[in-house]
Amino acid sequence: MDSFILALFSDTDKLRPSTLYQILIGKRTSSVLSYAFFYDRLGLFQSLPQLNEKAYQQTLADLIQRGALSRDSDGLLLKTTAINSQQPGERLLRYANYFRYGRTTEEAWRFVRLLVQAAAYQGVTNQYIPVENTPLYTEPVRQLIRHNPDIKKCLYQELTAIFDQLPAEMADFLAGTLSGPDILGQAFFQLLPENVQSKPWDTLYVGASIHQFLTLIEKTPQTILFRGLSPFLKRSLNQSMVESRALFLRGDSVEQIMEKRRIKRGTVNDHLIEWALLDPTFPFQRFDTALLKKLPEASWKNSYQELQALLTTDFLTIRLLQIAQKRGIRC
Amino acid sequence: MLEDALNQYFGFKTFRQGQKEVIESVLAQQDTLAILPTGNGKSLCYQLPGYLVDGIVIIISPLVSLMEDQVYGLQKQGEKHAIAFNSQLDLADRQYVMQHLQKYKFLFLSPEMIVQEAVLHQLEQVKIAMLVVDEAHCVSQWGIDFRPEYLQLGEVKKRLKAPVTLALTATATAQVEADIRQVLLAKNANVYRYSMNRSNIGLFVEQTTDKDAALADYLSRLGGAGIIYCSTRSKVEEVYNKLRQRYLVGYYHGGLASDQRKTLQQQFSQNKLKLLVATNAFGMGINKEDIRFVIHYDLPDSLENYSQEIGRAGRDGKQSNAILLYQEHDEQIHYFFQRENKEERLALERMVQEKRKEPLTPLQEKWQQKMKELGTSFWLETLKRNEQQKQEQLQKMLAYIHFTGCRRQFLLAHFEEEAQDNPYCCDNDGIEIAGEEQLPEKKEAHHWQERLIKIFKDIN
Repeated sequence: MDSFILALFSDTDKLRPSTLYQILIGKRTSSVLSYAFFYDRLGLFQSLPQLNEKAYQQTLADLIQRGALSRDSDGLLLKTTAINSQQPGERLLRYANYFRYGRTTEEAWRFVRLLVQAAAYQGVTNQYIPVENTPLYTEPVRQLIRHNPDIKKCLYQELTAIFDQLPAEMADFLAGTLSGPDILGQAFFQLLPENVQSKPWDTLYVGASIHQFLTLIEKTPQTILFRGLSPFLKRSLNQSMVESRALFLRGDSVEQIMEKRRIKRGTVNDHLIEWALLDPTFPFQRFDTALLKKLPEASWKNSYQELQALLTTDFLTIRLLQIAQKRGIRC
Repeated sequence: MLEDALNQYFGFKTFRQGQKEVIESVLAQQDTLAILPTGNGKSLCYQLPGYLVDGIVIIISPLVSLMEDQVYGLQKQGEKHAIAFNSQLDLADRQYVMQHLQKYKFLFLSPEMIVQEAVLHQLEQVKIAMLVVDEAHCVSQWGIDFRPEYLQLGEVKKRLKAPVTLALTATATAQVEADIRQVLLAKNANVYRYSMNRSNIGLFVEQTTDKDAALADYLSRLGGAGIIYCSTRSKVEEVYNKLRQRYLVGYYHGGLASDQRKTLQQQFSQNKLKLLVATNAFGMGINKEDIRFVIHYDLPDSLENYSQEIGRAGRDGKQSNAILLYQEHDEQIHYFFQRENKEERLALERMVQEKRKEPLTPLQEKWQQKMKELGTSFWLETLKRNEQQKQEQLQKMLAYIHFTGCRRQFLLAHFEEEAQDNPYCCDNDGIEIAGEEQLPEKKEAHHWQERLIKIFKDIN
């Protein structure tokens, strides 16, 4: 746990430990989400929902005591000497995207495992033990196989292309779970590299590997894998946000969405912010992006009151402009 | 001939002890109670008639892991129409299964699930070949694992128009047998009872001050596949981590997702793993014939559970071993759980007596629900009796460990059976494990490119 907690902190930005805890357990408010985004920790949102607060605080206290972290009123700063080069650290945290895929990470991979197995057995035999037998997986796999006579070849090519873009270690890890007529997949824990055997690196490694795989799949909408995984990718989104997004894309204003959906302004704001955090193609132009010029650099380090005084606009616009700024969008 | 069907569906030429009689009874439309030892192939007693009779076979099973084991066992035989209908399925999946019941031949359900009105209603619409109640001793307050939900199965049976019912268990005293008959079976039910003795399993107890050293010593001498049972998930992982560099080993416990558990079961079945470190969530329905040894790293809480667990060894009838590692104070963990349980029960009793409302623990909430369903005094009495039983069972377990006479006779006597001559018996009777030294095993590692080529080999 110590090395993981250390990896959460930065040696350049002072981070608030209480907010980091809320990120890890998945407290879904727009301020927690935005903070996670601005400090590049959004991928860890709800990565450890069972994390015990007392244990977390105790670990922090120990690390401060040992001089690995320093504390002042703004937050905690990592002492560079505390970083152990053997730990997976920053790189692994960068690959994880629980915010986007966390709801259906396991399900999505279970689907891939069944699809690969069913395709690999095509034309060999139908006498085998499927890795899954619940309709959630078996029905879409059956449909895909029925409608793609060349599925075996296609999947081989698609997987080769995707694994080729993954870090080799992660590609080996994920491929190791797959089964075919002459080879049996292994459980995740049997395939973990040595430096991620301890908790919580073991679960984060599984998540991060699958998330990287799904990220690449989302870039190839013409593939069988994408078509098969689509329902899982859709289900991993906040469905209430998706409804608000659909109305906004149809041209509705915040007020119209409030009225049609009978929800509060704060909820619509949360939905639009969540969408903007997820989607680089968010229509920022629907807001007053000319104000971007007025935003101070790294504006998330300023207080809301300071920004409001400077821009004289509403909360939603300020937050969205900050997100645009972090994404490097200029007016 | 029934043997022809056995060969056709399962590829076996002969039945094991008791199987044929039980199957013939069921096929003659008789309610049946089969008390067969662990490892004797109880599942076949409903699987074969299931194929020979039209309609769906409903199997009530007390644990998710047991259902998964059974479904996995059927899938290994090529059966594609078996499903475990339990909390692991999401709502959409449950609805799908209920709307497509005619697609399935074997439907596994928990007792809690089958009493749900919506489920019962759907089951009333389909033709039922037979109702199977696995671990039927759970129906009795005198059994080792009383589950009050089992008491409702009598009503369920009536709702389903009293299909032929097969009750299965490995352990049932005369009192438990009477309870099973009363709740689940027709008056003219047939009862088949066979000895629990597994004559090919040698019994050993190793009292040690260093379990890891004792474990390493046994593993260096024991050939073939084996299970190492531990009492908690964390201990399972700890023992696994000590062994993983040297052996082809996996671990298995309820904290793993069902697909991961299935993967491990499959590896173990296909001898890709030599050792499996597991909690008792593993193996209730495991159908691996050639498990050569079962080692208990931690102390089991009762001889009943211990017998069930060691019964997973040597189903092929070949010589196998059951080794229990005991270190002084191992029983403390059980005392701790017993104390905690008692304190929770006493606190609830006080709340009931003083009519106070306080926040309840999850266990107390469960008990409160049972009090509503079954009556407060009945349920509190049941809990008290259960505590008493658990204490007695643990004392029996300890007595077995410290016993200096024949361990097999001790076990048989515990199950109200007479002594039997057994050439390969127990450590106290002088048997020894003298295997050849086992060499470390190499793990296969593949790069993803090789692996994909292996998986999709015929496209290249």
